[in-house]
Formats: sequence, structure tokens, C-alpha cells
Amino acid sequence: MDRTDRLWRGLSESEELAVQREFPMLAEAARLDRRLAMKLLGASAALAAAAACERKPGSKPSAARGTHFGDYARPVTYATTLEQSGVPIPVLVETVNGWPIKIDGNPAWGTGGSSAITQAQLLDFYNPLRLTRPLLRGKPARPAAVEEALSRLARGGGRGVHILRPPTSNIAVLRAAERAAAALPDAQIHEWAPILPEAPFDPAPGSRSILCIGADFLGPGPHQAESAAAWAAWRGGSDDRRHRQLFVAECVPTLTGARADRRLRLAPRDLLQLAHEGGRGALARRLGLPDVDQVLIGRELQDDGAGDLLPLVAALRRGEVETLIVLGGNPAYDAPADLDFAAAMKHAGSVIVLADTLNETAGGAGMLIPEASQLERWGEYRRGGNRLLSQPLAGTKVRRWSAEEILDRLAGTAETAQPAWMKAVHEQAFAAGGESGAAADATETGVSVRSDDLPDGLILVFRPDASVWDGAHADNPWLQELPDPISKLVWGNAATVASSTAGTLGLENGDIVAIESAGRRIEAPIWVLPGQAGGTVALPLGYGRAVAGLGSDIGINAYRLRTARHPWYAPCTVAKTEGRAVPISTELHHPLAEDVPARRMSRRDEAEQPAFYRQQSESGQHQWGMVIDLDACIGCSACTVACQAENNIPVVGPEEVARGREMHWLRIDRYWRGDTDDPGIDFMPVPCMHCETAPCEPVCPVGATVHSSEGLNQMVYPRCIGTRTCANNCPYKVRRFNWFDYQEEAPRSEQSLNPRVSVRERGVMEKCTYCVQRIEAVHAGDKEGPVRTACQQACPTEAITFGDLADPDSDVARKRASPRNYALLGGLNLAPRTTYLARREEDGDG
Amino acid sequence: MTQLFGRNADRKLRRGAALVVVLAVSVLLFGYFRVRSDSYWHVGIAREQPVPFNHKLHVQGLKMECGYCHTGATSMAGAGMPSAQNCLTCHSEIWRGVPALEPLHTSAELGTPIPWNSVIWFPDHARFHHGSHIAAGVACSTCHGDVGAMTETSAAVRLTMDFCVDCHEDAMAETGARGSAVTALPAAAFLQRKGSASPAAEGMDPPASHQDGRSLTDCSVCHY
Repeated sequence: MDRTDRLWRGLSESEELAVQREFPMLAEAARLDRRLAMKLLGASAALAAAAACERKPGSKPSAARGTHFGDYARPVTYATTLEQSGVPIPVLVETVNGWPIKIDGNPAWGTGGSSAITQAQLLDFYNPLRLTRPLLRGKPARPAAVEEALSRLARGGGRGVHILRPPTSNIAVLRAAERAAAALPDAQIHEWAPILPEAPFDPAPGSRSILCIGADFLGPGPHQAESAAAWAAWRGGSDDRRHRQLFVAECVPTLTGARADRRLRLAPRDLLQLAHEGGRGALARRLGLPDVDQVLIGRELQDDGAGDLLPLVAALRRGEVETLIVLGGNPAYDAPADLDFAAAMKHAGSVIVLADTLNETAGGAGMLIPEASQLERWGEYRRGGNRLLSQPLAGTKVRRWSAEEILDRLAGTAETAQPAWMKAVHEQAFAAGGESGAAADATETGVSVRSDDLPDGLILVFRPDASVWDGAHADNPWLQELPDPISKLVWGNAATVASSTAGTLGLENGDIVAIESAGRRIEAPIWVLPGQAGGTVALPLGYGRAVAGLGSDIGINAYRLRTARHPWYAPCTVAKTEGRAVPISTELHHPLAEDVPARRMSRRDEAEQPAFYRQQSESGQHQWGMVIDLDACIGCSACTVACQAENNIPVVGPEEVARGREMHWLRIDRYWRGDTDDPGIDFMPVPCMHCETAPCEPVCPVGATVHSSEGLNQMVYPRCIGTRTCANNCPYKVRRFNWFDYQEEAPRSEQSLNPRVSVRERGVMEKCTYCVQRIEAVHAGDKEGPVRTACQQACPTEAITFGDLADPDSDVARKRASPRNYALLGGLNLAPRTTYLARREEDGDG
Repeated sequence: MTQLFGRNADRKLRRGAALVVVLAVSVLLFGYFRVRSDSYWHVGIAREQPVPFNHKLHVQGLKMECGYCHTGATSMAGAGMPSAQNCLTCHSEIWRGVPALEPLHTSAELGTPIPWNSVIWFPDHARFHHGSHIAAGVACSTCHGDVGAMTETSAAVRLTMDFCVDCHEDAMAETGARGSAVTALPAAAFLQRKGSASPAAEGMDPPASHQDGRSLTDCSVCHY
């Protein structure tokens, strides 16, 4: 690819006026009349005067035992395991006074990176809508009622009892299910999950070139962090110059496609053919693909079978099911549309549902049992040849149940077996050895490819969503507000089409179309997505939930078109309707005045380029700096959510995001490169650059943003009076303004906040601090160095390096000396402390 | 046609304007002195406590050290409040059955906290780390006054930003120009010349300081 390719942020970029682009509020303010402006001026003066209030010393309780430290308590970190879609993920959970405040990957297992979804699971624990009592026909019931109902079933022998549970690798659940099956020989157990995870990236030893056919291993999913780390290791470290080539064939742009050395845009039919040929047949030759060492075939192209739901629904319709027990999952929402599970469920004699919050399935339940959070229960998981353990790290006064408890009650066991691994849990979360992982991760050997008969014409492509995954995370505000890595859509989804398809159908962004497939019809807004294959309409799953707390009625429910026969690709027709609803995308927010912000560099240039390294002039012994390696960044957004969790960053909601007021301190810019139909994709995480000659500092009338002796561009919240001049003067557009008292108006559980970071009030500017609270913890002796920022800790590919530039042996100083090092907007001579390493690309000669 | 303004209108306006100026100045002056007053910072104002604890008796009389009860002082951000159990180490034998000590027994029996009332008001927007101050050689009494001589505990110092910054600046001046290494106990000599005690004299065991030569007047030392 030519390095002189133009970088662009979105198809409608050129339509905007300069003032709209840079100061959307200013463009709007021009509509204020003089009278309203005077009113607002008077009101703000009055409010400002009322804001000064005196506070009294509070109370300082002492504990009954041990010393009481209140907010000053030291954090305690627990090693445990979270399960996503049946895949165990080893994590470290930081708690303060017994309340979890942060979830990170466990560095004893891989790089310690995590994914956006793992980070955001913290908020699920604090969801105010979590069930606190069992509900019997919609009325609160005593916990004993659950025990009675279960023991009654346990005595019945299991005739007419059907149990539906999501796939799991929790050995405790599997064993309890075995015991239950033995105790109730007539009961049947079924498994259902709408989306099976993509297999983890596991390159064969010595493979130097890999072809992915629809396999989005870097994309969202439980294996994301693990696969990203494996991919980074395969690709070679920062100084590694070996050639590794990744070819990706796909029809909708994915994170894996964005990082491909060569990306092929193929229609689903061609993808299937390529998969059938194993990437080595006639089609591969026609596409000019070289012989590769390894071929990975995506989950969507594999024949995954119809699932266990078919026999269950058949039994339900025959009226054979007396008791249906749903142990997690949400089949009434995500089951194939042709099965109409929600209607079939009504044929069951009684329905018992285990759920943590009210959802579509729970609505049809006679008995609703509150589910224990993963942070509140024991577990033992199988992962490869290893065992991972989970421990309860947050106490609760509310009685909640876990799947294994319910299965144990059905088996007639009085109590869940006591965990015999206390010692192992205390020392480390996982224990190696044991039985081999027979039921664990599927390998790609012996993959059979689907034989979908796809006709000519438009093909509907279903995609898991980067934020809400299969819909399970719809009630998580951090994930709803996290821009999709590719389309940058927030708070909803849209039917994406290639611009060629949009041209043929006469569609543009925001047009509402009626999509019809197999006799079912939904309406969805259109979003034109560069890089998508022509003749396809892609719909992310997981939106349009009816009962999901704050995620209710957001976006379009794609499951209503998804059938058991065509779970990933389905023929469809699209008709334009009169309506318009433009989806909210952040792709045009925060523009930079540079033509090529995200650079690429060929390996040949890399050898020739002289390195620039500016000596800083500050006085402190440490000089903090950050280097972001664009060659390692996969755009997964784990850093954005980690930053949000660490720094108590509020969620502002769809209306505010549409005004360009999202609060993320660390955003990921996505640039399209070159051609509008088949562009390259570049990701660029942009935090505050901590410029040594910061343009925000001299313009602040009250000195609320000043430099520290260690080179931090400090933001002093109590001084800030909210003129927003600094944000206007910031060429990187990284300053965020609190337009409202977000914590006051949309409160988040106080215990979930990081007590080491101030909660900012209305009218205060904020921005990335380089996690100054972590720096201060080292200065105060609370923690041992080196300092690691939250984004650095979360990054699965170790693309972010933070450290002391004054120490020539530090990682960050070494990386800064790389010939790939460059400063964003370097021409402004701001001497930013955050610099970038250009993404490498092959010279073309191999 | 009558005059729109009477003869006194001009004088009234002048008086009114002067009054406004005087009022504005007095409001500002009031605010200026108010936030510097002892009462604003609750200096010398004791509050009613669930147990009438007497620091003088315990410190001067029984020679107990600060860190015996406030165990976090040498190493943590918060110095910490002792638990009922801590008090009952002695009071399970001494002064048994005295009604004033009833809350201790209640707390120990029921596991409920004792609601001590804070006597020091420290603004929310600043952060203070006890451990790093002890590490720098600042004695407890520098900010808390001679608590050991108090029968009723109260604040002794107005914890204004001036108070903090003066000391931070002096500590840097003591070790030379801004930027030279602020290593262990930078403030100790300066403070002791001013008549303060040293942490060691109060029975504290100062840990190592990790300030690593940064300026102690950086905003992010206290505000983040």
C-alpha cells in the first residue's frame, strides 16, 4: 500500500463546515438569541454564587475489629476467574473495603491484558436492577420457596423436566449436572448459546504466513485478549524484523482485517468457496493468494450444527415439558426466530428461570431465581490442560443462587460440595496439571465448512457486537457508550452496507430500510461502511432488547431475522422506507489538523530513518512519558474502558455523545486509508499528550492546568472555572468538559468508584492524567514501582508503554529511540510526552 | 412638564453606589477573613464524642505512642481509628463497668463501629498521605498540635493551602534549589529548628521517602 494514501475519518467528512467540525457547540450557539443569552448569563452568575458552601467535618467511625481506615483503606487484589460464553478468563480484581473497583487480566497468565467487556463487567456487579429476591409469578417470595420448589422437583424423578443452560467450562456446574442427571434419570439437559466464541489464535509452530477466512480472532469475544497477545507474539516484538504475513478474507471489516497485511473483501459465497477449498484452490489463485503455512476458518463458516434447542422446542410444542428450568442465558430473546422460543415456552407446565436481572426469558417465568454474580461464588474451570479457580471476593447480604447450587438441589444434595482448593486459591488462581482439557477449546483441525446455499442477490450478514456481544451486555452503560471499533457507532446498531450497494439501492446514512428475510421483516437505519463487500447487509446482534434496564429498546434486534438454518448468512431483500434516523457515530468527532496522523512505515524506510529524541528540561528525577506502538494496536478499546474504570469517567448518554460530548479520556481514532470502497484501516489511541510546551496552559485564566516537575500536564479541578479555553486551544482535542453533574444526575454506585480519583463536578475540565494517582501511590510508598497506567495494564498486545524517559534503560526511552517514533502534530513543536511508533508495513517484496 | 428626576436623585444614586461598593468590599473582606478564621477550621472546638476519650491521660500519663492506636500513620494515607478491640486490650480489665466505656463493649459485642466525630476538617479536593509525611520527617504535632496535652481533642492548626505550601516550599529550600534531590527527612531539620518534635521523638519509625527529587509544590502532589 502506498504510504502517501489519504487518511479520512468518514464518508461525510467533507460535507461539514470547519466550525461544525471543530466547535460543534459554537455552531449551535450561533442560534441563541440575545435575550436567551442574557438570561443564561444571569442564571449562571447566580448559580456560581450559590455554589460556595461550607462543609463540616464528618464522622470517623472505628471498626469493631482491626483499624478502620474508611476511604483510605488499602486496596486488596484477588485472583479469580470470570466466565464469558463458556470460556474462563483469569482476572485480578482490585477491591477497596470489600468492594470491587477494577477488573484486570491476570499477568500470571499471559500478558495481563484484558478486553473491553472484561473491564466493563465491573459495572454488572453494581447494576441497580440486579434481582434481590426470588419472584413467584411476579411477586416477591421467600428464599425458602425456591428451596421447596427445587426439592419437590428432586423427589419427582425428573419426568417432564427439561433443563436449558448456556455452555460452560465450570467443572462445578458440569459435575452438578452429572449428579442431577443421575438423580433424575428422566430429566433432559440442553445447551444453548446464540454465539459460539471464535477459536483462540494459536499459530502452528513455524508458520510464517496465515490466511484467515472469516476468522475474526482479534475481534470481540472471550478469547480476544488471549488471541491478541498470541498474535502480537507471533508477529514479533517491537525490534523484531522477521516477516510474518497475515491474509484476511472477510465480507465485513473486522479488527483482524484491519491488521491484515493484505485484506480481501469477499462476498459470503466466495468466502464459503474459499473455505471449502481450504484456501488453496482455484479461487485462491484467482485472488492472487500465495501458498500460506496455515489457514484459519471462521466460526461463521463452520458447520456448528443446529444446537440443542430444536429437540427442546419440539418437546415444548408437544406439551411434554412439565417443568422448564433455564439456568442463565436469554433464549426468549436470542433463540433462532423460526423456533419462536418465547411462544414455545408458554407450553411448558411451569418455568423456572435463573437470571441476574429481569430479561425477556425471565418475563415468562413462573419462578424467577436471582443469580449470584461471578464475583460472589466459587468455581473451578477447565482451560486447556489447566484448572482455573474463582473465589467469592465480595460479600452479600442478599441470598442468590448459582447454577451448580440449583443442579445440586435437583440432585438432592443438601449443600454444594465444599471447595477443596482453598490453599491453591490463596496462592494463585490456577493450578496446572490435572486431566487434559477434553471438553475445552475446539481446535481448528477437522473443521467442516457449512454448506449454505446462498442465492444471488443481497445477503444479510449477522455479526456479534463489539460492545454488547450477543446482547448479554446491553445493560452496561460503559459498553453502550464505547464506540464500535470500526463503525464508531455508539448506543445502538445499524444495518451497514458498502457504498456500492448503497448507491445501487439509493441509500444514504440514516435512511430507514425494511429488511426482509425468510418471511420476517424488520426496519433498521442504514450506515454506509467502507470496506464492506458489495451485495451484503451486515447487522450486529445483541441490540433491540425489550427488557434490559437502560439497554431496553436501543438499536435493532437482528435476532428477529436470524434462523436456525441461516445463523450467519441469509438471503434478504431491502426496501427503502420514508423514515430517517441517523445512528450516532463518533467518527467525525475530535478532528486533528494533520493529513496523516496515523503513520505507516515500510521496513526499508525504518532502517534508514534517523531517530529524533528531544531531551526534556524539567527538574524532577523522573520524567514521565508514553509510547504507543501503532504496529501492535488492534483497536480493541480495552484501554478506553480500563481508563474509564480507573478514572471514574462518567457515561453521558446518546444525546450528549451526538453533541460530541463523550468523556473518554483515551479515545481510539479509526482512519480509513485510501480508496473509499476498499480502504486500509488504521487505529490510533489518543490520550492527553502531556506536551512539554502545552498550548492549554498559557490560555487558562486561573492557572488550573500547569506543568509538574516530572513533566505532567496537571489538571487542578478545584481551580477550574470552566472557561473551556484550554480545550479549544488543544490541537489534539483530548480535553473533556463536565457539562452536567453526571455523578449527581445519573449516579453510579459509590462503592464502585475508585477512591483514589476525584469525581469531577459540573463545569470542570478533565483529561488524561497519566494515572497520576498511580504515580502518587509510588511516591507515597503505597505501591512499588514501576508505575503502570490503567491503559497500559489493560492492553493485550502491550502496545502502550509508560515510564520514565529520564532513565535511558527504561522501556519507554528505548522505544522512543526507535526510528518508527514520531510525534502526532509534530510540526507544532509542542514536544508531546506521548509519541507513537508508526505501523510497519511490508515493502511488497515479501 | 415635571422633572423626571428630583433634586436629590443624584445624591441618592451616589449614596446607593457607595453603599453597593462598601457592601461588596465587606462581603469580600468577610469571606477573606472567614476562611482564615479558627472557627472556620474548627480550631480549638472540641466535639462531643461517644466515649469521652482523654489524650492527655493516655499520652502524657501512660506514655502511649501515637502509632499504638493510629496504626496507619507511619505507612498509610489514613492514620486510622482504633477499634473497640484495641481499646479493650486494657479496658477489659481497667475501668470495667464504667458507663462511659459502654460503647466499647457494645461495639465489640455487636460488631458495630463506634461513630467518632471528626475534629479536623480537611477539604475534599486535597489528598493527604500520613505515611509520606512521617517519611519526610514531619512530626504528628506539626499539623495536629500537642494532642498529648489535650483532655478534649480538637484541631490545633488551620489546614489552609498556605499552611501546607509554606512547609512544602521550606522543605525544598532546605535541601537546596528546586529540583535537587529531596531525599529522606528533608523537612526534619527545618521543622526542628522551628521547635517541632521529630517523628522519632513521638515514637514513630519513619519509612524511606520516595519523592525522588520532584518539586513538592507540583499541584498533583495533593490534587488529583
